[in-house]
Amino acid sequence: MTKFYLPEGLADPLKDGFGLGDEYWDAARDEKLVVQRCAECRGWQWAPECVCTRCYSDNLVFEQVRPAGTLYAFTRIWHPVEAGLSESLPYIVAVVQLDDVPAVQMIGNLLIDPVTEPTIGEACTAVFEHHADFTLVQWQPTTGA
Amino acid sequence: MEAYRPGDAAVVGVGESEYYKHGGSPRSEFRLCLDAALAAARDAGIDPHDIDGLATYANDRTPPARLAAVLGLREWKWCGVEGGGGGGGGGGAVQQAALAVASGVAKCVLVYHAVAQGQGRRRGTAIPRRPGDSFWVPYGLRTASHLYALRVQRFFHETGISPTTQRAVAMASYHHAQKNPRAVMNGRPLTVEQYEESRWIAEPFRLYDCCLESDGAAAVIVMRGEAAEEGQQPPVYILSAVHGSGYRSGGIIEGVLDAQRFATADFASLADRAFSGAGVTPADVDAAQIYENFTGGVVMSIVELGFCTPDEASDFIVESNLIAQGGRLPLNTSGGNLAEAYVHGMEMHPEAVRQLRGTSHNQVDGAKVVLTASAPMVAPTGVVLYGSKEALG
Repeated sequence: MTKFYLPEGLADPLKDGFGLGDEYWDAARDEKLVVQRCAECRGWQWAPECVCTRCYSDNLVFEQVRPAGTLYAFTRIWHPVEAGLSESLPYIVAVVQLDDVPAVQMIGNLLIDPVTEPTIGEACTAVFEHHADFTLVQWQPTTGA
Repeated sequence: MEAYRPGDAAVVGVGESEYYKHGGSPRSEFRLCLDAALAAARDAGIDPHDIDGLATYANDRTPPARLAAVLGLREWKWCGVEGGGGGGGGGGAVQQAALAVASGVAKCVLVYHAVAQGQGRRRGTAIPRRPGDSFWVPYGLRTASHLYALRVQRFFHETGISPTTQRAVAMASYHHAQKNPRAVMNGRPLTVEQYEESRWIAEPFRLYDCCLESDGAAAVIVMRGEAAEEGQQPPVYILSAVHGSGYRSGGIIEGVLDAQRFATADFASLADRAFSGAGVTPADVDAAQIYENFTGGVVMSIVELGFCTPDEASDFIVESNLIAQGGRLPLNTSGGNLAEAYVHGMEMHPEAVRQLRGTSHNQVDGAKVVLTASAPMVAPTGVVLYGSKEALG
């Protein structure tokens, strides 16, 4: 495996320009996983939104959660939709249900040999993939699980 | 739709452009749209100048004002552009037309959609970046097949339905296309072996599980039910037309990564409204035109629309049940998005109407009720139930 799961520069994270989700990216840089939570009604939500989707408060915080979850769904992608992905085929995109906040379906790559068949329900641990300007939260099967 | 009664509105004319593989059209996207509109007016026997309303969807690039100007609408009373549901919007555009004529706001509404993927972005390529997409795009989740593969994979896991049901959906569309001279895949039959040997796009989708990329346009003309009875075609009534979605169902592309129901086509709530509004049940449906963005979405839709239970699905969703010649649920009888042409499902509305006139190339004997469902897993989406005079009772 190369240093990064997918080639850099193809689809790097973009800031929205209004600060939405900045705390998440800062935490990932420090190898911490955080999820957005409403400070008023205490509801969790993901991906970050500008107001609470339950009570519409904009008093939202990011709380640290354990970097652990289970594989909820996946797809193994074989067809390159842009030229730069051709060298990376196949690759696996996973949906991970967080142990601490089961309502959250977090997206990441599953860092296994891509010809291995993933098993829905298997335990996963977050891995922090540091790029020069950002950190991606990736997932791998939990060792010894 | 308590205010709307079955038959308040009807389709009086249907039309299409020629259909082409993406990049194959010698005509502009706008010209294809005009071809469909004029064909629908000819079919209806109406003067296009008398059209007084326009409805479209899926970010159609035909400016309504240009279409109105070229057709020469004498009195343009109403314009409805369905907002943002992509292929989910076809049923919504028909609903808007039905409500407009039923309320008297307009008398004669053209519902149209044109998409020439050879003249714009091919939908199989990466979706343009949008704010907030950084929580999925950097992981290579770049296009519709990727996003929906995740939901379908989870659906098969949760329900235990066999993924080979997807093959039956593909086979039915290709079967019907062989008898439909309009179909892009007419003359190009699909065998089980070809399907099984086709390459993966994004598991569980193979090449033949994915809609075509086409150049084409389709249109229908909607008038009040009573007016349709004076028309040159047998009237085909809109029994019900519903549009919408469930709670926070926009999916990953709308930033919903905490969906309460992840593995769904999102038809459960729409199905209840559509069938109760029409006064019919799934057992009354003689043929179904269900939008194939991906075959797995159609499998989800068949279950959620009530045609079979999840436990029955693996046995029910087989090719012999899905074809017009003796099947229990003839599906996508023109070839649909997989094998006729991908006009974001607009092409399914003329086919539904033809079934009820008795003029389909894959005619279901005595068809009285036909269902169309817009894109599964897309929000908002829509369901339209069409019926013949007999279905109105």
